[in-house]
Amino acid sequence: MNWIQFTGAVEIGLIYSLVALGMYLSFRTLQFPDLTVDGSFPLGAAVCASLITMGVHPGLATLAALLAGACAGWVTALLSTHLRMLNLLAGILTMTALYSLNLRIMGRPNIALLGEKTILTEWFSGTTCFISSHFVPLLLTTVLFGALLYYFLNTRLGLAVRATGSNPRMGRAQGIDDHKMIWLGLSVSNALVALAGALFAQVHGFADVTMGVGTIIIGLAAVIIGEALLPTRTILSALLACVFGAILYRLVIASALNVGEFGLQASDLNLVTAVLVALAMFLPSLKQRVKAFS
Amino acid sequence: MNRLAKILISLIVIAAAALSAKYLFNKHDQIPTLISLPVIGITQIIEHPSLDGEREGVIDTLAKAGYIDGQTVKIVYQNAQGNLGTATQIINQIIGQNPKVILAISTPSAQAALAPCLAHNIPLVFSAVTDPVEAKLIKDLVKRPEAVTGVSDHLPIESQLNLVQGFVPGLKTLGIIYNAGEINSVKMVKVLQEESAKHNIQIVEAVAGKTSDVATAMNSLIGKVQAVYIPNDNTAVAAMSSIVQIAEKYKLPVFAGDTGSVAAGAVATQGYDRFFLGKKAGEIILEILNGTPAGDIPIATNHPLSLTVNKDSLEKMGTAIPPELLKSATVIED
Repeated sequence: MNWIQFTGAVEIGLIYSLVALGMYLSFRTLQFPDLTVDGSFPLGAAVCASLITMGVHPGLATLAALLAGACAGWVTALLSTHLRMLNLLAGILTMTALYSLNLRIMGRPNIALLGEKTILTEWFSGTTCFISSHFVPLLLTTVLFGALLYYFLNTRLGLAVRATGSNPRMGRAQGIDDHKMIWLGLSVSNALVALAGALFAQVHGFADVTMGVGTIIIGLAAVIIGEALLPTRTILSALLACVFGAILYRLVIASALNVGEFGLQASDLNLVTAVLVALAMFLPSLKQRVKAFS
Repeated sequence: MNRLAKILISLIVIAAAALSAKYLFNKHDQIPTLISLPVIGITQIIEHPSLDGEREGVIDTLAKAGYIDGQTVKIVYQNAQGNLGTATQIINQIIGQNPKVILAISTPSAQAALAPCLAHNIPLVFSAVTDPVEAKLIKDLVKRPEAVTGVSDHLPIESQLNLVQGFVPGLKTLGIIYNAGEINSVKMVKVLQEESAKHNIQIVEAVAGKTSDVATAMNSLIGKVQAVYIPNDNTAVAAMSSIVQIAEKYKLPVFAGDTGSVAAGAVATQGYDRFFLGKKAGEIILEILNGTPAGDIPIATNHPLSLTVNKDSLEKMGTAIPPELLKSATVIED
């Protein structure tokens, strides 16, 4: 791995850390396996890219992407709470619908943003750090939204969301409207994922309708890797673990790209990634096993 | 025992860290080795017969000109396996090896490569891109200050309609299967709609979002159309076998936009040979290696069309080839 590849992996890891934070909220806090993210990630990119090409200020376009993601999450939550649909099915339905919706929003499957104004050119031009002009804005965004999420989870409202996730019946007994908490949680979660999509489109210069494929897997892997390797006793450490997990997952892919020397070929990439992640997960369990043995 | 376990774990961790550090930072580092070969980077979005065909064409052309992988040049080939996030990481990996030129096969791969290539002053050659201007790879087909060039696989649409009309006289309805999520296909279908309106041909669309939906899309066309045309659509082409099976059952001729699909069972195609397009891209890379600025090399368009016919499918789908077409055709037989 070289320096460019390393910084590139950290950058894209920072983008996906927003996905991981969002999925931590739905998957871990609310105990809601939310598959909407495969649709809300490209939704954020689609909304943001379409608005930017129409001449809207990129900051406003990014905000719109955030709101669109929140709406997508709210729809999934509504399907689950009011139509009493199974969580997984509710997410699958929204994700499926979003594919067509994204095509409608963009009017075509691929919008190029190269040469257009983005939040990077508007707000962060000239902030080159570690040969990359994207590093500072991405780090700032992750820190800002991570901090906001941390603050939110410690407010009374955030505590109510957490209570809904850990014991809905108990929550109701305390006067918490658990349906509204699920709406809120999923909206915030998908808003973060859509923000990641909007950032991806602006950093890499295009939005494509297929870019959501596998978002859920990447997000889940990030959350789980982070949890396995770092302590997650407090909310703060759990959020940090998500960010760390997302970056680590990208570093794993980056190193998987370098295994050509060992006689592996380009098509082995996904297999190598899976094996490396499995190895990373094996370390903590090895530690426990040895501890139990002694 | 506890202490022993701790020591054991520490040793394993240290060994793993040392090994990975050695492997992570030594393999492709920018530190020049004694014999450092010039690097050519190839990034491709997914494994696919047409895209693979182009890549083989490029490698073949380079090899014939004396640029043999591992001997006189190092060809770094990476495939994103369909994941756009990975595509962006691939570009970083290739650029870190300081390549002489980068070849991006497919529109998203080229879009992901563009900004990093411009930032690091590395010439970018694209291929398997239908409309490089709309994809914003270049601003203008002629005036190009940036070091970006390549091969456009834009197919003149009249040739496709003429092909189907040649086999199916009195064509009134034509079915088309494509993925609405692919920019190249959507553009193609739009132009086809406009062109066929002039010839009084009605186009019936069947959209398939993924390969497993293609059979359903094909079934929806049965009874509604006289022939089916498959454009250069990655999803439909990947599921060609399922289209052919249904077509043979209902004796519905299937035409395609690429040679690979005819080998997979479509009746005929008039289009570009992907290997040939790859050779074009290879020639562009050779020019860049010889010192021509990439911005001065024109975008390769309007390649010679070749008619390819599958004899086996002709019989199974109940069609015959007009004798005047047979003369110029390449015939595939099983």
